[in-house]
Amino acid sequence: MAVLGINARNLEYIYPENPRQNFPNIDDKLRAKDLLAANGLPIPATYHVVTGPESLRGWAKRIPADVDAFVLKPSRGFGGQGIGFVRRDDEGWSMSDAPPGSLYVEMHIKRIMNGAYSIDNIADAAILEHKLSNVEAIMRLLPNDVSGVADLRTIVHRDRVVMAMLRLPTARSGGKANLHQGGLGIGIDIDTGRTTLGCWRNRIVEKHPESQQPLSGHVIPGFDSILEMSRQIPELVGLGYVGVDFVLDSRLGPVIIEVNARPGLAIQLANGRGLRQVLRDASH
Amino acid sequence: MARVLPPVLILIAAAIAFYKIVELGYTQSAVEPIKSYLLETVMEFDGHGSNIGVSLALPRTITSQSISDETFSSGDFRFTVSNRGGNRTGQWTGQAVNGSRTLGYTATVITTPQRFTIDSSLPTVQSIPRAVAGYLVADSMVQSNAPEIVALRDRLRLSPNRTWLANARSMFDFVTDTMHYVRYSGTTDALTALKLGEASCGGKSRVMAALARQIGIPARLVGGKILQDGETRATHIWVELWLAGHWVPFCPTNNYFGYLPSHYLILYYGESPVLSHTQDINFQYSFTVKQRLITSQAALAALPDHPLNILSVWDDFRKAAISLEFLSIILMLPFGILVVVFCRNVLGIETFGTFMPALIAIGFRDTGLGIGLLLFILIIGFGALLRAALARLQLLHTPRLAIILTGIVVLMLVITAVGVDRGLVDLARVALFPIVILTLTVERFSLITEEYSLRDALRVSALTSVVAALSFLVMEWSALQTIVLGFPETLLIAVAISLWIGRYAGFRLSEFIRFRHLLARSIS
Repeated sequence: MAVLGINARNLEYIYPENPRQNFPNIDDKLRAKDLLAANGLPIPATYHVVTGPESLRGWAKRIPADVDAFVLKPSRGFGGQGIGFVRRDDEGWSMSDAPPGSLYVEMHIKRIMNGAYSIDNIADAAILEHKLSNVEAIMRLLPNDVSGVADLRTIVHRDRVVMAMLRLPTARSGGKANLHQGGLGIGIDIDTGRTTLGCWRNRIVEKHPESQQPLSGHVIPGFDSILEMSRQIPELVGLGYVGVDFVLDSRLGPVIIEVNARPGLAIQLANGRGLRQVLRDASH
Repeated sequence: MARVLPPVLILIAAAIAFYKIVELGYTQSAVEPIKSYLLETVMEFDGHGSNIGVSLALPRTITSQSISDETFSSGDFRFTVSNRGGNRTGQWTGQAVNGSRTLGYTATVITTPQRFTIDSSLPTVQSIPRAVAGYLVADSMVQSNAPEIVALRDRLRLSPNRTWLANARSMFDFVTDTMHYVRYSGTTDALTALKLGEASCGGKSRVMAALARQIGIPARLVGGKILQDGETRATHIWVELWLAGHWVPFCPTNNYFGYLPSHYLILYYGESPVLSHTQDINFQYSFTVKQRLITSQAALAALPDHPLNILSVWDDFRKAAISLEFLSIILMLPFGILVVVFCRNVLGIETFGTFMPALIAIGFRDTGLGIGLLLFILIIGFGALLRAALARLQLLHTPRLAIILTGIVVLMLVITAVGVDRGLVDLARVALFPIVILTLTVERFSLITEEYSLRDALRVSALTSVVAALSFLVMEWSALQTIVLGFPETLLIAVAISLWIGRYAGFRLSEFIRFRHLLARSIS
């Protein structure tokens, strides 16, 4: 059967190819960013890292004067938890989902430091980094009333990109691109870099469920460089089967935001084909 | 390796089981646990400087009951056991006692019910051996020669000319059906009971004994306890009639004719009290009965002493106060877990936590499945509301969990109090639910609600309940329990199944649904 199930993914790819001791290379985002940057791969710029009371004091001074918004994320977070968006306003800085005022930004930083969002609930570092925005080609795919950043996931096995998918936030997902939370997945033909069809709530769709826009045939800008960067990741992080997440930024082009050691299987639905067959073809 | 191991494990398990059946003589009756009762008597009193004597009727090992593991706690009292007239009495004596004292007696009781089938042709007139002749004589409590008893004899048409069975049936029906039962703690003689037309167990039994003696059937009173879980001070009296070398039991109070049920414990014969003691010492006492499962002692004695004879290990555990119930919880847990493994890796059912359903299932043991599920849902719902109320305070993870846990503890105490108040024992046992597991379940429920939706959280709750129920049914499956207790090597089979599932790279059942559109495409 061409479709890859969870059991087969774990037994045949993750356990044999992803040694546990290399997980910290990607679970710890600070480490991952260092590793990627050292090899010339694009990552969102880090403005500041808060690890204790010393670095918490005067955090605002570390944000460049020409920057109006940044992202606050836990270094050892998982599943997108604890990520906050901060913007400059009359009060100084404000969280997007809290009352105005820097006080709430500091509260969120402290929660991250206390490990509220870290994998094992132990003390964590808070990363203040550059906020990415969607490239024009992506903006065109989003309905007007939907905000949020889309991302692009590639599945890489050893040195070969086996599948790719674009993930769009929807009105229903509340700005999140995660498929479990109602994001729209769109398959991408690896050879042409064009979108094929979509998957929404485990169903195959050919039109955007909210804007009714056709989903196939859109060109992904910079797809060749996405493939090229993806191919380098497994060797770099020491894991043979990974998911690499990019944001197609309006100014920087494709930027790597995360590497995943247990990439999900819904990408198969978005591409209308099974991973197993693709992986087998790759190994022969 | 992983392919060879499961059949090897199963072969080893089968070989050990085979050896135990063929060489050690394991049978179903040897393996099957039997019901036993732990009887506990506690006596407390205050001494004021004078001598104190306490005597307690002790059960004896006879055909219908076997007494073992007796312990006596005596403190500074002297303790002796006397045997007189078929009765066994424990006597404690203390010299110049000052201050409060506690005396105790515990024993393990295994009973065998006795059913007598009486030949309907047997005559009432039998040759009575000298040893039994004393049970024909009237006394102050059983006034078998009184005119009222003679009149009743004639009214009931009791006569030496009728058969033994017909006479016994007539007098039994009269005391059982015609006389009213009243709860009464004093001692009532036969005549008083007859005049009142109502009596407690003692009065009814004495009327029947008087009627029997009147027509020449030897009769004696039996004092004992009804073995029911819990603490009581009540004792019970019934009667035995002599027939051709046998004492046949009758309980007119609870309508047992020629039958001694398994929850009747004999403590003494005749009119001697269960307890007697020096007066004015503020004497308090209680009898506590606890039902327990144990390995059959008779079967155990028949099995050889062998390292593979696991039943003798369980028996050693019993002597160390580790019950068979506790052992079976531990031994069944791997099978409950196996259900979870199967549901997760083969069926693909999503639940809270990895082993949470099996741990919740253990809590169901005490409450029963229906009430257990209800309480589980109630506690998770309450916990989720509490967590939502706490959300505004923006607390850190661990202190928030601590508060939710405290809330759950209070809720469980309230449920227990309601259960005790309304006499709903199953409800009262909610206190045995795994509190920490429930707290973590609440946290998972709330996280799923926040990250996905309440609908998803409710779906996972429902699926967790289903898996917990399945796990419970497997762990409570008594045939499997018996097999696992007798043949713990079945755990190797559980490991073998986990090895198989552990290498199962096929689809989970739920993935057929998840990928159904994709699968449909690849077929067409």
